[in-house]
Amino acid sequence: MACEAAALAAATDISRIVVRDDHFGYVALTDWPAGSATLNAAGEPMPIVGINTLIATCRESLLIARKLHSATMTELALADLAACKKTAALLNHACEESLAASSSKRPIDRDGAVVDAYAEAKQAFDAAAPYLNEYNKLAGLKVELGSLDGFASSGIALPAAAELAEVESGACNSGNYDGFVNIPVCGSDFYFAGLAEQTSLCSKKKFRPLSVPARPCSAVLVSATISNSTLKNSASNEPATNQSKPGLQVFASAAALPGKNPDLTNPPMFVLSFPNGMAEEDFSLAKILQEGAIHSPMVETQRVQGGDYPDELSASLVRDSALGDMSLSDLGAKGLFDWLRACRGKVRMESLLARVNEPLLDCDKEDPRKIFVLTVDPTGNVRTAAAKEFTSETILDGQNFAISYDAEIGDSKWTVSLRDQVSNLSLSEAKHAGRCLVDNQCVGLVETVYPKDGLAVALQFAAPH
Amino acid sequence: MRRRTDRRRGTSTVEFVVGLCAMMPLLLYGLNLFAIALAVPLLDSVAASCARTASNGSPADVSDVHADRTVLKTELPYLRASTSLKSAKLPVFVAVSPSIKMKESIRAPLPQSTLGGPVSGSVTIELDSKIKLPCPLPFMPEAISVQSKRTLPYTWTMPTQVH
Repeated sequence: MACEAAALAAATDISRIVVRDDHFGYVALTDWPAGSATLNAAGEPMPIVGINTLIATCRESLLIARKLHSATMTELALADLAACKKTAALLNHACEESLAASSSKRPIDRDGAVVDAYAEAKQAFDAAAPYLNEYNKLAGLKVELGSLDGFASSGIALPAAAELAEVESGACNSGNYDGFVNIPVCGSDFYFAGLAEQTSLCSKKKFRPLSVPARPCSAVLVSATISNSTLKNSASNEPATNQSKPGLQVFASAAALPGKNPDLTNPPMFVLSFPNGMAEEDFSLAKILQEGAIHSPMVETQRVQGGDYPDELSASLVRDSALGDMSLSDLGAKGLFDWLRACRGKVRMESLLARVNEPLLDCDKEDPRKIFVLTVDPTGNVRTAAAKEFTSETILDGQNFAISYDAEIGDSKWTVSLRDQVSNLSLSEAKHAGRCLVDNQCVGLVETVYPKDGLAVALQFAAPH
Repeated sequence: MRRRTDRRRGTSTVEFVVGLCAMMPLLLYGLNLFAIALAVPLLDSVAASCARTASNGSPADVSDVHADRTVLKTELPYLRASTSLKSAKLPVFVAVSPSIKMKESIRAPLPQSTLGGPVSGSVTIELDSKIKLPCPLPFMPEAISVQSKRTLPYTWTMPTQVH
């Protein structure tokens, strides 16, 4: 029972650990709202993303990339998967540091408090073991991080029906991905951490110690050795000393899984705007993504540095050497990919694929200005709302901008620009680290479903000539 | 010949009755000890079950750090534990007092009311029970009082109110 108490305490504690990742920002075993220590460079609170949410988002992006036959999206999803594996290794290392009996570098939680899961486990063990005394002593307490060889849920819902999500029946349960099993897509391995509805005990026989650092681990095994020295020292009627040999040793162990938290962040908006009227009658997102459908010279991608552009005087646009020049379809694919990533896997695949392929229709025939706002409703369906005005033109620090002046659509040449506010999630490279721009000046939304929504990506088709 | 057989049979009966009289107290003592040995682990598991139920949900008070605060009968951890106690199945000779002694300790960091978060703390359950011995005997009480105590950490996470 004392081991069970210790395992529960340790599992609860490791779910508090937050690591600062170069690629994804603040990451933990499960989703958390922002804390006082999880701020971006602008001092804004940053929600903490769960490792399973990251992996699920990456997997969904890869599936959608395949369905849309987008090589750019596939490339970006694979790059994110590689980054996810590094993040998982970083998180595993932090958990191990926290569970070690002695460590010089304990991880911290979202409020900056040190997370010493070993001390918590020891405290819980001592409190639950009233039989420990001068004769019955705790000879050893070991807390290990690992996975389970058997059923454990990841707590992450499938983004579509199992067939479309390419999940075998044995790898999902109750509409959720299973934890600790490989659920591959296109030959790429995806492993989720196992999380319970609430921190709970699990089978210690199925516990497997951490072997592959790139796979997220969340199970905790506590092993205790209790030494009974009554027999050894009964003759002299003296309590056992450290030097005395133990008369009898009792071994006990228990395993536990941390609980999950829901991701309560609001999916941001993807805006497609035509301030000078629609480029074509049956224009759709699929046309933008289709290679060669819109003729345009290669477009130079730019990155903002030195602050928010053009709000801050120190800010400037420089060439993004990492991305280089891109075709218009690649830019569209990048915008869509980054928006999906910012939605954190909340998008239903069927709904997105339908929206991409269907023409953008506006009910207001009199107003030539067309602004379409793609949002995600609580059930994951992508909805298209029409807006009449969207005034903010700010590009956030560290994010991407690209503009093409000669995109041929129909008989005219259009100026196409991409403003991607969620391209860079790095806390060190981007002041807002992918926190979306909230535009209170966005007025005239036909359906104000998400008043707190931020703008993630804006794609504009303007000035036909 | 017949008289000799009857006499032998009568001797055996007497020996059996005398032996039984001598052994009976020992057998009854053994039966009582068996009942105690059966009841104590059962009571321990009931206490563990109550502690687990109490630790699964919200503590009585998370507004401040405290140690060994008595949980009142009207507070949620108590109500959860008493539900678990009511559903426990015990032998007829075991009676558990319906009044649970419950204490909780809450340590820093405390979850914030809007942001939520896990609770660092534990809940301790003490059950007072009586094992009524099935075979009353001299030099043995009619019932034995047993106290079962279990402590478990809280595993509840305060839900967040912000998005």
